[in-house]
Amino acid sequence: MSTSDSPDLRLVLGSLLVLALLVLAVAGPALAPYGPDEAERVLSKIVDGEEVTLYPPQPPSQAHWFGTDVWGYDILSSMLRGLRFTVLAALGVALSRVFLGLALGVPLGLGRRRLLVLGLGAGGGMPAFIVVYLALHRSTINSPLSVESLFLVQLLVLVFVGVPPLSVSLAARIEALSASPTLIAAESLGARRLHLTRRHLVPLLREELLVLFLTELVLVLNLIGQLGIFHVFLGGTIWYPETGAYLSRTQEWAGLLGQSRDALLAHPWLPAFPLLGFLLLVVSVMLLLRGLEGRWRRRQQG
Amino acid sequence: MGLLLLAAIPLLVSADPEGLRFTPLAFAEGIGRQIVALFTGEAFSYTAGFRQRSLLQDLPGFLWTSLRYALPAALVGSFLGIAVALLTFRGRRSVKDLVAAGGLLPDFLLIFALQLGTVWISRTTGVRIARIATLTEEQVAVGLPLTALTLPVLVIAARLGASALDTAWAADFTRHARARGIGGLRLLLVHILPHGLVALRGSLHRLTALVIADLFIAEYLFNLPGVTRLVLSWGEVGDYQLGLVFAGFVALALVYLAVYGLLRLLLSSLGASVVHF
Repeated sequence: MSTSDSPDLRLVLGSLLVLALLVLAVAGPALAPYGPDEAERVLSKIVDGEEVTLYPPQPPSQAHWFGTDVWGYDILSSMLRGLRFTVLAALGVALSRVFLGLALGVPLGLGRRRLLVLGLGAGGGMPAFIVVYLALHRSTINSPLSVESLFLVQLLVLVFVGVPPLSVSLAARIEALSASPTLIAAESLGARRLHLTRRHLVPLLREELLVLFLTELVLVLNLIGQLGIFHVFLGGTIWYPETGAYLSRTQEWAGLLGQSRDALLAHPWLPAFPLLGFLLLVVSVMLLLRGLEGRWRRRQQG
Repeated sequence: MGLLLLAAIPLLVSADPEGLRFTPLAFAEGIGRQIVALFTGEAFSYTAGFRQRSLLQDLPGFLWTSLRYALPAALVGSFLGIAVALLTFRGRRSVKDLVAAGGLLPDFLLIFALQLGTVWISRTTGVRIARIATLTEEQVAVGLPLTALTLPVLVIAARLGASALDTAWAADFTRHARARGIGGLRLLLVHILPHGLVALRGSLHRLTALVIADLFIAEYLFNLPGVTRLVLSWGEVGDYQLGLVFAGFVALALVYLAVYGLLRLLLSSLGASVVHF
């Protein structure tokens, strides 16, 4: 158990991993060993003195560390190109949710509008990904929209489903905080809501908001992953009715996982590397989250 | 009505080369047609491939499959979760942190990891420990889907239970009982556990919602012909079948009620048996 002075191992490890993934997300396309159009469709190899022709997908090798997919594309390169979409979506949606949740939670919490809070909190029994799936499925599969437009629409839907429950939980916390002497004094001196929020609530909630943002980040990654399983990929899904194959337009990680899930038995490396990548992404954020929570808890205990 | 509104969401938006369009009229028309179809009887049939099928005939089979996986998973997961809570409460924070982290880990990653692990063991040792998906009516996956559905419930029940037991341990009535010399198993079962179970009862809707969410993923990834597969079977071809999705949601609501009822019964029975200890 670390003391209040010594750095938390989870915090250090989580920060380093998140930083490394952010760097990879930015520099990924430049680091990719193969270009987006470079596919190894047929490979000639000498096996036991005889030349044999190999077809994709190829298992991991020196030339392709993570192997190639069914079209002959290098999986490592696809992952390096797709990470920025996964990271951008998760960060953008989580940040927007916290910002909008706060914007909605402050008037609800300070105004004590319980009925509205109850209304926003309703519908918690239905999994969020089903609502998103129903809203996005038809416009995502073989979408006529451009990657950018569809990506933006998808992010808006992901933000929209997350704001009501978040604003409800923030409203409850703000309602509890509004009974503190500092806020009562500021309110009696005539402080307006914006001033109360900027000068009192945000400083009081700063660490909680950071923890909330990281929790939302994990939840959004989970949601993106679940959508990927059901072939709703960020940026769009190309579906080939003749073969039943699905292809991610952006090569984001949940898409790479979803498009290769049927290859689990025959070519396990196809889903294995996107799965490990996604797991690393989630675990990194979770380590950072737990580390921050631990530091916060220790500080409260003095 | 809420389920019908939810099922009609796909009619609210459509994409064409000119862009994304909101179609509230199609949404309202679809709901209106569905309400009329409930009275004319048209709502009880659906299209599967090129064939017209009866929902009244097919739905019980899908419902039975979902119940066969959801009920044991909820029951065993909650029971084991309470047992883990009893073992870990007042324990080291690192153990609790580990359980809490398990609760945050996406469930689909767990399912994929279980499937990949099984394939890996089979390839390296030649031993097939479980079926990774249902292939035919005879080759049904049971062990892995049940494990995948049980583990998330176990983790959440353990986390909620341990937190509730910690609170009960610090409460005045427990301290009073300890001061009177009551300790060991009697203190745990008569004074602490009943209060932990009451707190867990307050989180039953959350636990049930988790089972339903995981059912969607498990039935899809393990190829189980349950209610959620029916809900998602409208697929990519043909027109959207509002009636089919709505009927699936109604069946899912029944699964929800059955799981919720069973868990309530479990907690009540446990509560009653420990009070009479």
